[in-house]
Amino acid sequence: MRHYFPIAIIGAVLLLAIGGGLLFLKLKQEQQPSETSPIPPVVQNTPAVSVTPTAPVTPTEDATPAATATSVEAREPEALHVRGKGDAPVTLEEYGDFQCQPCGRLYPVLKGLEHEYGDRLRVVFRHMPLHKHEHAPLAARAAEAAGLQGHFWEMHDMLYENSLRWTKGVDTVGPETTPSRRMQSNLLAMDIEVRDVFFRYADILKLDVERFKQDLDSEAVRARVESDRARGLALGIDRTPTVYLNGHHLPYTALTAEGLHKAMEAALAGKPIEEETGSPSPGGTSPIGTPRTTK
Amino acid sequence: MTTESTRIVSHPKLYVLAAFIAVAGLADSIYLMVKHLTGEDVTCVASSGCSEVLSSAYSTVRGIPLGAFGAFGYFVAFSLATFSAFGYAGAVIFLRLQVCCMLAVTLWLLYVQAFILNAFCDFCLLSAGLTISLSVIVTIEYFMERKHRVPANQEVAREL
Repeated sequence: MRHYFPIAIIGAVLLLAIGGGLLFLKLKQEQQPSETSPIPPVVQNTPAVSVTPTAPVTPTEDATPAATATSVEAREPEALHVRGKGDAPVTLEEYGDFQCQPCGRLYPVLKGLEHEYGDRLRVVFRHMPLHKHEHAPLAARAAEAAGLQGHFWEMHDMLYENSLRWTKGVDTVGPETTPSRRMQSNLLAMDIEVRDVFFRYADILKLDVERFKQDLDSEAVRARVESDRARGLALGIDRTPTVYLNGHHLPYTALTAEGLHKAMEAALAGKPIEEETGSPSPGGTSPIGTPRTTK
Repeated sequence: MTTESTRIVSHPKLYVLAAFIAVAGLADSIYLMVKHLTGEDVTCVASSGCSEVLSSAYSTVRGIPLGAFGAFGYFVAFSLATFSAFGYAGAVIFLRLQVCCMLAVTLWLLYVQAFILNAFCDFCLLSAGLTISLSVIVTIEYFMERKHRVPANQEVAREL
């Protein structure tokens, strides 16, 4: 009888571990949708912004910077950030937050997709900075400020590639970074430190840093970011990343290299694209992680 | 003269302690695995690099989170420690091998955190501490077992 004791104990621990793990996973997944409520009301009076709730970019829509559903005045930053040829048969539109880790994990996947499909894919980026990410609005404005000097995508890439660093207010890009400086930044981890990091990025991208500093807090740049966010909220987006392919809202489970490849092939072949049912599904997870929710 | 021992498991209480430590490691690994699967941020208390470490390229192996490997490793260690505590001599050998492997992986991960990522994560450090504790226990038991080892021929003579 004694021989069965260790087996019984091990079996009990195994069951507890599996059961506990699954229960914890389920609890975490159930907690996440609750974060989406209440969804902040759609900003109705965003200056110089017109929101078209039902209009993610589609190939039939002329999405050149001059003519888009979301438009701001001509003197302001470019209305739409597009990478790829204007006549590409497939348009992928991402609502992203530079501080959101799943967005950061999606970034290399999208880069791979752009590389794979070349002229057949056009990527559109829209800002959806979540309030719970303290540096996300500043990061979005940094990308816009760089965009005013014609380097939106370079800053976009820089922010995503280094997001784990600047989130903590640490700049490991600069050659002058020392361990003591890094430790100090870790301890401070304040917005002002992040600003310094963004200024450094602007310098690396050979931007006019003084102009970048001024633009970072300008009303035009703030309005540009807010216009994207207002548009996203109007579309019912409550988490990031949210991706539309030819106007079809992709489920979060499809935001993988394989899933996006499959959706791309379907779009190119004119076949139906697997679409998110209803509003963004609350419990959905994907290998890039559960999308971040608005708060 | 033979070196065979008639008392392989000399201190079962040490293995009970090892089993409890392995369960703690199992819980830690499962927590990290679930956090990875849900994509949630892990909040550090003592250190500041949880996000950096747990989102790095080193946090997965072929898409499988390290927490899953950790959970498996700790579960195996727990099973072997339990069998050892109940006097299964063969399990002791496998436990020593298992703990050696876990210690090697732990040292590599500590190196990655310290010199490649320049960031530490509380839960990873906890796991490292638990693995090191297991190593210490197994090492102590090994030397105690050597000390108490009774050569087989002496045991036979005593019985006669």
